Amino acid sequence: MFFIVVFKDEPLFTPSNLALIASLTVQLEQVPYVRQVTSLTNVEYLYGQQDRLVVEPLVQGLEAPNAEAIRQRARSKPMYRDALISADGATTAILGELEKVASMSEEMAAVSTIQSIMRQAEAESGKQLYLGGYLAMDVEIMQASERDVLKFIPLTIGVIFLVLWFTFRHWLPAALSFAAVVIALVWTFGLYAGLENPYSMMTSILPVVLIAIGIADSVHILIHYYEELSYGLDRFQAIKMTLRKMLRPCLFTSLTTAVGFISFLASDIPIVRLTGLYAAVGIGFAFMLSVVALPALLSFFRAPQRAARQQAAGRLVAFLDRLTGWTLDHPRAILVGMSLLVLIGAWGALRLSTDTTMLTMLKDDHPLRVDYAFIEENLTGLSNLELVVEGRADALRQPALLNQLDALSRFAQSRPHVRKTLSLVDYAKEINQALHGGDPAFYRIPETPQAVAQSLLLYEFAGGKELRDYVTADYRSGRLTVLFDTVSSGQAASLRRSIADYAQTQLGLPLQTTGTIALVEQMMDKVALSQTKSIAIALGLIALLMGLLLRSVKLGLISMIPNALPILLMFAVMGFAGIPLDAVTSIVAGLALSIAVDDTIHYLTRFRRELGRLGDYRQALRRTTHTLGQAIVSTSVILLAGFSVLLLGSFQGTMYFGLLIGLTMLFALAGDLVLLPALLLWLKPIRVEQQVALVPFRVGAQDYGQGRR
Amino acid sequence: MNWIEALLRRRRWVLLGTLLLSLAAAWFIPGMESEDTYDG
Repeated sequence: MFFIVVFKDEPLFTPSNLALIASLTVQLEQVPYVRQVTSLTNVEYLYGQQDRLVVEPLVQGLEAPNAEAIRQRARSKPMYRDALISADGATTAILGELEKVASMSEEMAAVSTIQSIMRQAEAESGKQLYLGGYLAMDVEIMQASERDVLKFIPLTIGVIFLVLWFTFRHWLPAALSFAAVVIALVWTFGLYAGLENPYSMMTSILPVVLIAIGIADSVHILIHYYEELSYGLDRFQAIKMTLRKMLRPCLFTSLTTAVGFISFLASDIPIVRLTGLYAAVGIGFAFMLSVVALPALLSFFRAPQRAARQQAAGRLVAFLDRLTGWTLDHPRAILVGMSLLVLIGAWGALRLSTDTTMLTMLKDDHPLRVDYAFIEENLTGLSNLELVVEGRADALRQPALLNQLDALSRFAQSRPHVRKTLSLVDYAKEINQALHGGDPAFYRIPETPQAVAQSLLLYEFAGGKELRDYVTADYRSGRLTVLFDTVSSGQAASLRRSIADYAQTQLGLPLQTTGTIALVEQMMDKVALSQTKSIAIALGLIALLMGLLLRSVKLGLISMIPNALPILLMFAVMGFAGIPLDAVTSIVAGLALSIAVDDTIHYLTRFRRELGRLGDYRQALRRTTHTLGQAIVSTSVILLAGFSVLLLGSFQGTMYFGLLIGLTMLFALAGDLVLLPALLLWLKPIRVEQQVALVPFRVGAQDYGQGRR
Repeated sequence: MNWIEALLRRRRWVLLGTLLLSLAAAWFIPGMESEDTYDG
């Protein structure tokens, strides 16, 4: 974990600037968990004296006449260029490294200390300081997650309460459905924290997701309860009827949603697996509370006046009735439209990319992105690739291998976006030059193994230590650091491949690669794979559950159409808008599918009952939309509104997550209210006589549900 | 549907149990720790 503090000034080499660097260096060295700090003031400076090598800090004293000498010394060393000092000599860096064992909270403490040192130095010197490096990025991502969750929870609650108010126009049902989901949230987080699970960026999404999804069960139950009341039942009868009819669909919608989250377990990213697991648990809690605690609570309150409720829902229901009428009159047009959408969707989905960077997870104007841009423009690349070369003991004292490593460095430098390479080779050349009176002609690798060994020995005798970062004590393995600009994961991966290929084919050097680039690349592969796996698992399991619930393979398959299409369209939106698949967006599809399918379950359950009762497709479809449409629209709008809150987050990934799920819910709503009726009318998958026979009680609409308690 | 009858008969106990469980859960929440997101 490294960090870099940068500032720019012309002229750079003044006593006051050097004092600033020196003071920052000393202060940063004392920050807890910081392993080492390198800057212009303490970096090793090598020179020859007679036939002996001298290694000493570049800056010995800070008096005015010295500054010019220091400038000349600093500019004369290729090793410092593009790392400690920019090519134009105006920008300088203080490089720091954190101990490997530092935990996230220790990292956060270190970064906040570093930042306060920087702010104080800025105030005293009037210079603007910039912070970069993987450490700052890592910590910023974590802190932004924590800020986000504090923002998300109240916003989600507010937005959803508004939708609930428009749905019920009465405080009681709005408050009750809310109570159920908030309690589910408390249970889930209690369990999550109680089992000592870590807090992360993904966990900041969890409350929003749980509130938006978990509330659907209570909304459906409450709307159905009021429907039963409207048939003239008392509240105990209505509760019993509601539970009897809604238990199965609610159980299955919760199951399919849980399956969507459980498909996260296919991910190779631990925090994604953990989030999926607890989201599934939370959905389970929300279901339990909706069918147990909610009815228990409901039984204590007298039912609100009927007239007010009917008026509120009236306009929406009237619109839905008209919509169904149109749908049932134009099934062909709808099916043609669907086919067109499938084509457009497939076209867009083919344009999906998995190109992503850590940096673009943050929004464009984020301070860290500004600092990164400044540092990369003025000094050097902030991404690193570490290539490890291994041989026999002493292999790296052989000029032949050193020359190969040199050729590899030069090849790496010729690649686009590469800013600097550093390895044992640079030290070998530097020492050789110093031993030859600083003659630039000797800035090369010594020719014999003896000469190499001797020069390295002299360096160690002189007290040189920096070399240890690039080669092991037995000279068996060494590393080549490549610094490059923060580019997309695809570009970074192709850079790594081209260097590894060159080493393999041209030099016959076997290489191991690590560094941020390797992490990003691994992540990218995992993302693409977990996307495919999670969708496949979700699709398979959900189709199976639907078939089981509806006890019909045919109906199960038909039910997937209005839900798979929105997912395809979501991919198309991502493809056209250039939204990449990354750790967050990769899990959207499976999840969106598992949520979207809920309304289809309610629709089909209700439709079968109505078909059995009414014995006619058109009538049954009209009746289903008429009674259920309000609940479906309401839960969809809740999801849309709830997930829209994520648009206000600090991460592009979180924003996309909210945007994509919200959009998919909208598509799925259209799928359930328009496409599904058209499909059912066209395919007539259920034989009417059979369904009528399946329904044991046939009663008219008026005395519906009477006489059974 | 016996369980629904039973549920409605013992509704006070159901709500009390829910409340107690919630209090127990809420007890743990402030103890959550941050960890590294990208450990692997």
